[in-house]
Amino acid sequence: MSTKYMLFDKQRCFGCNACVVACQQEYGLPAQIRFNRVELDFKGLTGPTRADLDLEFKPMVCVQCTTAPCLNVCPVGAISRGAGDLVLTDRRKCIGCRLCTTSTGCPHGMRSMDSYGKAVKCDFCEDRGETEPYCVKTCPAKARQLVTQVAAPTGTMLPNTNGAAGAKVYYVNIPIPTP
Amino acid sequence: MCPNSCNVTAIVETVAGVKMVRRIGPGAPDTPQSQGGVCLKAQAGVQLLYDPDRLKTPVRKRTDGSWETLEWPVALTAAAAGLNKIRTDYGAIDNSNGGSSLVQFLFRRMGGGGAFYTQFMNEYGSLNQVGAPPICDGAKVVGFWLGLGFGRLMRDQANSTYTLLVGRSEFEAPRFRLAACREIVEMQKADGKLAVIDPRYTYSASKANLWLGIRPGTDLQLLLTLCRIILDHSLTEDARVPGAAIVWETDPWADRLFIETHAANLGLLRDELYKDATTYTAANAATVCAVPAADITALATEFAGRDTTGGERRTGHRPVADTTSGLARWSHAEDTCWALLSLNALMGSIGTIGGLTRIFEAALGSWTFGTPALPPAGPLRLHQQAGWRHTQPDSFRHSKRPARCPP
Repeated sequence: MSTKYMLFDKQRCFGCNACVVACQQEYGLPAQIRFNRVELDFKGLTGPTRADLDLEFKPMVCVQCTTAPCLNVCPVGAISRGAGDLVLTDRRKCIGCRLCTTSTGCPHGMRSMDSYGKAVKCDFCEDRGETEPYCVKTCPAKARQLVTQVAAPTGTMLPNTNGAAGAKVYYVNIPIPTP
Repeated sequence: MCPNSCNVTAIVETVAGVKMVRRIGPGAPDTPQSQGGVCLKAQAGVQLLYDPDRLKTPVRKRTDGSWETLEWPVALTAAAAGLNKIRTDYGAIDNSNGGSSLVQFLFRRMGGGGAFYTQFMNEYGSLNQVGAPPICDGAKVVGFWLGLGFGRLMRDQANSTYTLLVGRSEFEAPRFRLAACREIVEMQKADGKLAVIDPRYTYSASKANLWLGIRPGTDLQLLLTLCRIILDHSLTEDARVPGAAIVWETDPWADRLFIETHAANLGLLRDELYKDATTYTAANAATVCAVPAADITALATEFAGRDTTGGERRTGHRPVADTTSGLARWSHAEDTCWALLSLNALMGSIGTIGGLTRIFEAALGSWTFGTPALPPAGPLRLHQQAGWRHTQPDSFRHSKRPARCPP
């Protein structure tokens, strides 16, 4: 079965947050709600001099866990697994109980409540019917890709919420396109 | 909103019978400015457009300090009357023989859409026009003028293999070209190197292969030291003999470096670098700039693409050094920017592929406000006229004589 995978290239990402704003603009989200984010992994000094400072940019979205806690905590079955093995939320069924936004429902903190009291999260723009999510289209550094394939990508998989394998988001090397 | 002039797409939808911009998306992938990317600030432009406090009609200040709303014809008539009165009272208009009105215009932008402002002021009768560049990087323009005879240069990032950014936070504020960010990270993927000189550990510094966190305001010392190390060890583009014996004023090398109008300035550079034996050594620069001497020497040799033993320059090595407001807003920054230009000159990185290239600007030609029909567009867009193609490795048109590039 073909699965959708989101690929990030940390070497390309420079933390401009265009992806975050693209998503917020498309979905009409207030500033505090982010379906995706760029985490700053500042390790501080890793050696004796200032030149040994270390900062890394880590793009992050819902990893679409294979064993998704949000899917299990929802009391009304509003969360389901859809095409491409993605975790989707049915707004019509959501009763706004917020269970899926707790640390139990999503240890990654990738779920939010919208202004209508409905639980929302990234679904790789599946509900928009787009071939490319808006964050991918926007990225000035081309640090993101969405692929649909059977085999898992070659790279570092972001941890599933329970630490086991099964996420759909990978850190990979996105090569320079050939002209 | 931004001088970068990225290519964007406005996604429009009809709400209650009114067309509205839903959001701003990326534009065409074949544009040199943005290459199909768009930053967060451009996307947030929708918020500006529909901000309830955005002025949508002209307003005029009353004598009591309050504001009155005007209709456009009333406002334009009043503004025209006021401008005419200023011209009558103060401006002896004679644009012939270099004369001009005494009226001086201060305005935001001179390039891009600013060409229309310029044309308006020309027709009004004043050549005294000052735009924003003196605020941001006027010293850079002046410094480059001192060395080259023209000021507007842009680095050819797509073809550079070693980029040195001095006081320039490219990733936080991608001035002039958003696409340069992508080109830098792809340069690094292709085994190119990025070096950043900045007192702060910025996002750009975090992406650099070599970061020199110097003491603020000591850029000139560092840049001249780099020049001196390069000369001392014969690391220049053509491995010139080192030292004060170089005679740039009379030999053809200055011409090779494309220093057209101020060739003697390289002589001034030599005189400054070799005024004594200690000022511009790596050890002294380490003390002044508060960075290790070994890092300074390493930067000089890596930038030059050679080692200090006089080895061959790496094949295909195309270094370029660039800056913007981080240098240009310091006192006497013209000197620092000129030193940066000299560093490029020693590497042969002016007017060459992967180096500093001249910016092409649109010209309105004979168009006037009296003849509002714009001249017919050429068969190619401006960047295409400049030779840019998406699949073409060199993103700008290059000339070995950049001062003579067509406008």
